[in-house]
Amino acid sequence: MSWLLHLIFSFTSSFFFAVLFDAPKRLFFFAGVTGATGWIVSRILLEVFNMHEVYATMFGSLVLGIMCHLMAKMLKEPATMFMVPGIIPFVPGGLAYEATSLLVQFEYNQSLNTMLEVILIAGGVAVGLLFADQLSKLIIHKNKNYADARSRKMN
Amino acid sequence: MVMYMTDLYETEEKIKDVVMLAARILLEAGAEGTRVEDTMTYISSALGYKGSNSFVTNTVVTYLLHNGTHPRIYRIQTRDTNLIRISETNRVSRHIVSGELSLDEAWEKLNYIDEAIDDHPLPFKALAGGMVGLSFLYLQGGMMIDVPTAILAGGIGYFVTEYISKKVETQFIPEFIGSFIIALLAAFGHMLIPGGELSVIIISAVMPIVPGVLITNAIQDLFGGHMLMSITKLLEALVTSFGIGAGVATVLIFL
Repeated sequence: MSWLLHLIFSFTSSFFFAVLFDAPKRLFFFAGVTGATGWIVSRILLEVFNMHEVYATMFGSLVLGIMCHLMAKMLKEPATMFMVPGIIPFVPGGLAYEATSLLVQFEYNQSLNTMLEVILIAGGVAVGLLFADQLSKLIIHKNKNYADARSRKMN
Repeated sequence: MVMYMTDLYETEEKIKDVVMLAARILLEAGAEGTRVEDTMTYISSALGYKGSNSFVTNTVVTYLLHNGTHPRIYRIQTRDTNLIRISETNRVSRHIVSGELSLDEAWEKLNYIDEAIDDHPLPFKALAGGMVGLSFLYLQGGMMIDVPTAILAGGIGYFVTEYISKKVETQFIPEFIGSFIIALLAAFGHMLIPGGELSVIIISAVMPIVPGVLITNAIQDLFGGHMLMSITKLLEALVTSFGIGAGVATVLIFL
């Protein structure tokens, strides 16, 4: 049951973020699917495989990034359309809140520790996206125009 | 011969107009620098100018079609996030390259995108903000009893932030006031319906105004080698999140 609810609410969160960022109406659903996939993967890694949150987030965002590029290829839209709403659930908002609230209570040590964890998780998201980007350049967009344009620029 | 020269001159100016307008729309809609520069290079090389050069940050576009012409500069004044415009401009550039659109048609279409395509209506987006608050209440492990508070705080907070950021051009203020109101509403709702968890309500209600696009684009620009763009975007994201943190903290001090 809790898995189903996680699926539903991660879908709705990405869906409504697509609304907030003015995505075209036809893409709301696909943005939701992309976000839900990434989130569910990270939850499975976190709870079933008992991974640390940093690694779970990293692999989750890796899957999310690959999913974004697949969707981009399928629907002929830029990958950002799906990446921007999908990445939001991974933002370590809870921990950042905790760090801020510790900071205003003048608990500098604990606040700094929490802040470090926030930075690590954000770094995990970034690394996951980076690898997804490179993988998709190798496999999905093999002869895509953008890579072409860049190689022309160098000449 | 003279006719030919003016013709060429006019075509080049037209190409520059189209490329600059596309770049301006993309940057004002919050696209990442890699995408903007690639689109510019891609359009101009498809039209036969392979030696074109462009440099883009999130405040300025510079563009040189080839070494014998005047370069163009445009200063970007306002930036927000609008994925429709990115998507439509992307389609126009794809059609220019595949030859389905002529330069004049592309110019018309880009002008239409720039002027006619608008954001979704603000009340609708505020409703979406409320639903985002509800979704995150579950994802962050909140309680059933806090659902109305999270929806209200998320929706109203988003509405206030967007409304103020349309009136005030300063960076920090809209997020500060928005998150201040969110924290106030959350604390008030927590007082009326005790038994929930205040921190989870605030986290989930603040989510709609978190600068997610800026952070994502900053990361992508960093790895794409656009150092200047990624640093400016990261700075913008930092200022915004500092505003949110300060607004929430202002309420937390009094609790």
